[in-house]
Amino acid sequence: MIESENDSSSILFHKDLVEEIPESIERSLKSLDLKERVRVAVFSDITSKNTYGKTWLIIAGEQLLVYDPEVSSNPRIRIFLRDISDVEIRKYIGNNAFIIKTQKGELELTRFTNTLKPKFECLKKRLETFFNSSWRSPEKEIYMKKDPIESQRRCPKCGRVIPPWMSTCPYCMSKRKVISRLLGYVKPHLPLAISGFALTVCFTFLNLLPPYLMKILIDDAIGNANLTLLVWLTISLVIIYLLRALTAAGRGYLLGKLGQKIMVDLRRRLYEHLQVLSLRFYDKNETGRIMSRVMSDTERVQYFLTWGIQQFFMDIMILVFVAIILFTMSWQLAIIVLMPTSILIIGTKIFSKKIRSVYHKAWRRWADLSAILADTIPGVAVVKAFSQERKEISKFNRKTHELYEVNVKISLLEGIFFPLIGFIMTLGAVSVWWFGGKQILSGTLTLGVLTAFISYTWRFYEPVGRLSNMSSVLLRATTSAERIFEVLDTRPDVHDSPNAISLPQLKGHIIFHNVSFAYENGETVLRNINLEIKPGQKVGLVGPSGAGKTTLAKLILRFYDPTEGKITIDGYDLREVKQGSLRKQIGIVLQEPFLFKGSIAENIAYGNPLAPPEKIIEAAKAANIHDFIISLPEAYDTDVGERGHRLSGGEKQRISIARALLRDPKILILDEATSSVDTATESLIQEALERLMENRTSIIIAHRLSTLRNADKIVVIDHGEIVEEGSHEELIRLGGLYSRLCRMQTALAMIANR
Amino acid sequence: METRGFSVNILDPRKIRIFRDESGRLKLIFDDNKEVLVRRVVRAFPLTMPWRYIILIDENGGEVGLLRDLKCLDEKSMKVLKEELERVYFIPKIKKIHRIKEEFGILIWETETDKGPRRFEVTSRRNIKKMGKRRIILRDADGNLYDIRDYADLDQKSIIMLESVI
Repeated sequence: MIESENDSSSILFHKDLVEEIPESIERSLKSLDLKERVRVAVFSDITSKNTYGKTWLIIAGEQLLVYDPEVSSNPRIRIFLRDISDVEIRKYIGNNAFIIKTQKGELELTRFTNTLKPKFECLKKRLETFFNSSWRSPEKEIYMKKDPIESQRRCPKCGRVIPPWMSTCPYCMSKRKVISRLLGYVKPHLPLAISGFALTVCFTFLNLLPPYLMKILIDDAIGNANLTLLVWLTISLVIIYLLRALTAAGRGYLLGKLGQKIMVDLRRRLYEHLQVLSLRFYDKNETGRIMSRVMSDTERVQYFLTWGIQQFFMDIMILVFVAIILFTMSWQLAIIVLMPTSILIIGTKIFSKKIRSVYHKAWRRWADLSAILADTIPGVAVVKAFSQERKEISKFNRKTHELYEVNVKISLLEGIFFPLIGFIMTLGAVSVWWFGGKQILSGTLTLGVLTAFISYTWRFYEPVGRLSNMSSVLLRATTSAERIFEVLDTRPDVHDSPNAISLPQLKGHIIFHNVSFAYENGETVLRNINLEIKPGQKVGLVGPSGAGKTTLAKLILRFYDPTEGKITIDGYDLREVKQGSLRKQIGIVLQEPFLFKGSIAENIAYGNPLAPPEKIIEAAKAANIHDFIISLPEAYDTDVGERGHRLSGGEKQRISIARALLRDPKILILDEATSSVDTATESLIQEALERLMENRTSIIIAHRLSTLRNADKIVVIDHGEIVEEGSHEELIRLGGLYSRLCRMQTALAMIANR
Repeated sequence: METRGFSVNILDPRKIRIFRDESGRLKLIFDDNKEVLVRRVVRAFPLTMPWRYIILIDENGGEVGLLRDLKCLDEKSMKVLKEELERVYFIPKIKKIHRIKEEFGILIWETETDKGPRRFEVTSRRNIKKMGKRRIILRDADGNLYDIRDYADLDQKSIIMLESVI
């Protein structure tokens, strides 16, 4: 007995669940002679007075104590561990309660905000293991290792929340690493990048020449009345400008090509990886967000890799060269030119920060506006039917006005900033005129030098402005890059193990061995499922919505792996077979049939693109859709439109049945295949389904229990557990959930028939 | 028992009493002495009408009934139910904003609420929900909720900070 106690306490005793106890509690523990035996000490963040503040939950020795240090230094609750039968975290709104169950009933120990949920989930798991330690099995231990604390989206290093669109903490992430990884995408196109860069360098040089020639023109050609020199200078200027135009064109072409190549590369890799990723990834990420990664993030990254980086180097080059030229021409004047740059840099920084927040605001208002449009235009019939036009118009007007206000603010800010910056730059130039002019008058400077100098001054200020904004450009690019890398770095949860075998032709004998499954958020959907489905059997899955029926079907397809236990088909553990070889032998008909853009024939042949036309027609006939198809002018070549919007629900459903039939799978999953169609169509579909199920192991998820009249076995699932199992008659006789559901549906059917 | 009525069972506040039994469980007693254990209290309109339209759920998940207005209950019952609702719905009201800092697209709020000081992170502007003209409901990175009833009631400094993010 003592030995087992030591064993279990080792589970409870874990340093991350022992936090530093305040002195007052420590004193109290000492007086209770428990101080040396503390196994768990965690605080919650809501007090018994329902305000923010710490309540302590301590397990010491054989006791559980709750302290409310703000109220009293003595324990508010003191209970022996052996009196506790169960623990529960009850989810409220904005907070949760940690509840224990004893013989006398429930007792709420403390409440905490969602922020501390992972910690208490972890504690709950530990306690559960502790209470169940007598029958602890090895699998349980493995499960324990997965601490829920890990799954929280906070940086383990600094505790900051990691943005949902990023995989690592941006604060702790090394920018240099991301950039060097990004540059890796330029590598395969190095010749293109180098030639583009070379042209950039040429362009920069060519751009710096004209002012110098101008100086010679004014001082030597015009000043000395040298016509030959003037001719030569004019010719060289024309040539320089021509070359500059040519290099600009070449550079534009090369960099554009480089950018597109990088983008094609990135998009291809992303899309390939998206197809490999498991469904779990898609549960976590919204479609819109994934789309924006493929489209706009790649765009931004390619722009940075081509133009951004080149512009950066070019600007630095210009800055250095122009500075050298300025200082060699006249160092006194060069210092005057440099003076406004600090104001320029600071000004640009302040302005870009300010304007960015306003731009963001404008963007949000703009998004509000388009959201209204996206909402009301498709729903215009409803707006009219309920005669709400006036209300919708005023709503739109209000949002338009809000956008107007922000845009006016932008105009104001830009209107002030750009002229102001212009003014500061002119101040520099004017001072050069003033000091340079004086030098000309005193004969220490020529007019040509001054003219060239002024030109160079302008060329100097330009890159200064751009470079001072570089950090934000860099930040945006690395953020986009991170988002792309996050997708690329996500390893599919479900992947073929290196020694996965290819499944042979299946008989379809499915067994669930004590299977439990939890989604990412920790919510357990299936609990200890033990189920055998024999080859050729038709098994109905019944239960309230959200009971876990569809999840169970998805586990057979291995869209997810069970969290605990295993599933075998014909004795093969699903984790040890190739996904492709498994799914090839499973057909599925979903509640909402999904058709892709293309013809009816293409949609039927989606799983077997090489199927001969007669097989397609055969499948359509078996699916009771052939007659409808040939009544269409374009018959099997009819375009179904995006997602099949040109067809009715029943027609789409029968096409998806034909698709499954053509595949000739050994195992068939029907997920509420008839629930979205009317009764007349249902019989057509039902007939098609009966044909489809012949000689196949079939799993039928159904709301309408009438669809299950031919099932060999019915399994009733409630709250993730199998509650009843047997034939229709047996279950009716049992008088449980199934018979209740049956009675309810007959009652409804009677209403419908009245 | 199986017939599903769609009519709302409105509880007459004069005919019920709500109390806690000796083990702390919430109970409802009708004037004919019928006792029901209340397992859960639900606000039908938690944001717009937090003290009205309260639904009481019994331990089997069935609906005991709907209470139109908390105020119509007797003093004691009202106190018990109000306390329960405040426990279940922990949505602190923001009284003052000390600072809103943006770090890598995440807004870090340092605020003063009616439940005490609170610092929290908002990951997306979608979690700053505007209700009506001047009410704002915030959802932080962990899923906690905060309420700004009418932001015109905040001090000027708080308003300026708030307006920069909405």
